[in-house]
Amino acid sequence: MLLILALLSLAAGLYSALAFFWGNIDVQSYRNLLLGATFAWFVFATLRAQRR
Amino acid sequence: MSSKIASLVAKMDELNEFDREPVHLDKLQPASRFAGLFAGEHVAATEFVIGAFFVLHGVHARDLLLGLLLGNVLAILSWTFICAPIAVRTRLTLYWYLRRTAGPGLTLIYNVANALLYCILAGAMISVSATAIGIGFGFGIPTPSLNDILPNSVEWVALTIAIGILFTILAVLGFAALSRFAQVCSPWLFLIFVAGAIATFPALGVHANFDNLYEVMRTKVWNGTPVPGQEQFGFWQIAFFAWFANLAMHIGLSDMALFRYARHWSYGLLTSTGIFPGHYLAWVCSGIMVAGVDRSMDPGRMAYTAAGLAGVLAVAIAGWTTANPTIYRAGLALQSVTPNWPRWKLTLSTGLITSFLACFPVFFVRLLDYVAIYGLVLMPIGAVVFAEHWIFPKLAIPKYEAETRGLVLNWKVLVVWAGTLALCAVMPLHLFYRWLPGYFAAIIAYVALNLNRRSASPCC
Repeated sequence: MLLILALLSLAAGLYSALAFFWGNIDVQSYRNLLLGATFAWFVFATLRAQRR
Repeated sequence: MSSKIASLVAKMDELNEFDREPVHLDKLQPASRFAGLFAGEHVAATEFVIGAFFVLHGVHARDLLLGLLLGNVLAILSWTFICAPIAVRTRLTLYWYLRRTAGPGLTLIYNVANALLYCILAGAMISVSATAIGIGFGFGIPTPSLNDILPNSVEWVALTIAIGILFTILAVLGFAALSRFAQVCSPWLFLIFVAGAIATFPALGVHANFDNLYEVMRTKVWNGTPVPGQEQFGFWQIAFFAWFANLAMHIGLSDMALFRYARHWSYGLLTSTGIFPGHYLAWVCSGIMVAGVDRSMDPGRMAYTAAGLAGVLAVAIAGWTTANPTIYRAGLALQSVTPNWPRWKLTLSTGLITSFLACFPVFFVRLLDYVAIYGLVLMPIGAVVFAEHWIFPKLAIPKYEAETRGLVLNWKVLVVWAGTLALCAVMPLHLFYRWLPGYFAAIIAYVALNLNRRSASPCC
């Protein structure tokens, strides 16, 4: 489960860049989403690493 | 003096005692373990700088893409056909192989040289982090220019020293925990590279359907025009750089420490899981990002423009997670010459040396040259071990001269090492190309110096 959530965080970060590139969101929203994806990744990936 | 040397040697052997015996067969690791290990190994802070430098050096897009492809393939083949086979056959680290061949005195010199090179590399990583932290926290500290050798401001010195001390304290407090943290970081760092490059596309004029992507890359990123003061790079410089970026690890045989656990020498091919994402895609991405900031070498500003605060965090954390093991390794290498020093004191000392070096922007703004020199300095040792392992048996020359004759220092190895470096220093070739003729010269010289030891029958 944690692995899936961690991978979804990465996917969300990547999608935010694509959404900005396609003009669907502005630069500030892209940066905020990428930062959010970053924190989410660290939470889920660290939790997973600790459990292993 | 001789008792001092004997004491140092004894201490050095004690440190490496765990690795003295060849790896037992029940300790061998599966291919999946190697693939995972290498996958996270080549996405580091240096990638933010190296890919950007290729743009500043005015390489053409086609030369970059094909040069990186060739160079990375050659690097993978070097691991596969040079490093892994020796490691799998001997199951030893380079340290123990070299000790038997060159003697403990020379391994001591090798360790010190390695430690100093590690300190400089870690210092460059601290400088890269400083560019990000200077931006991220709004300090407004100017990043050194491409021609700077000495620090350009008091603020820069204060920032790099402060970051260096912080990294050092963290390395002292918990190296193992930080290593695990670094593994967690790798996939995210890769995301920042890719996201940052994609987010730079609109500024460069890439269409939403990517139909003009290559045209934009060709004209606005790798457009063949170097920035003023930078030498123009072509296909061969790129190919050679990609090949020697990890020269100390493959040709220099440092990665014998890893491959001695491999079940088969073909595991060398698994380095491709890290090399292509890190030394191809990440370099391409950082090249695109630097084009988005008017081709100015400022990793912090570049990452902030492309990825916001997440980008700044990526540069700072990548610098930290790269500098951390490097400071630790430097400490480990120096431990042999500082008997009885506790690990914390040693890490603290190497960290302080590294912090001092980080103040000098020359190591960061001349990173490509430094990477070339780093590999070049350690390459002759790899050549000596290669000759000893593959050529000596064919010529019936007994192996492990230092061990069999009880030498503290095998002067032939020292002569080959110093002679090769002297030869490389005067070669009328670009710095990036010198290691290759130097490698062959080292092999030939070492074999020639040992021909008088040929025995009547084929040996070992």
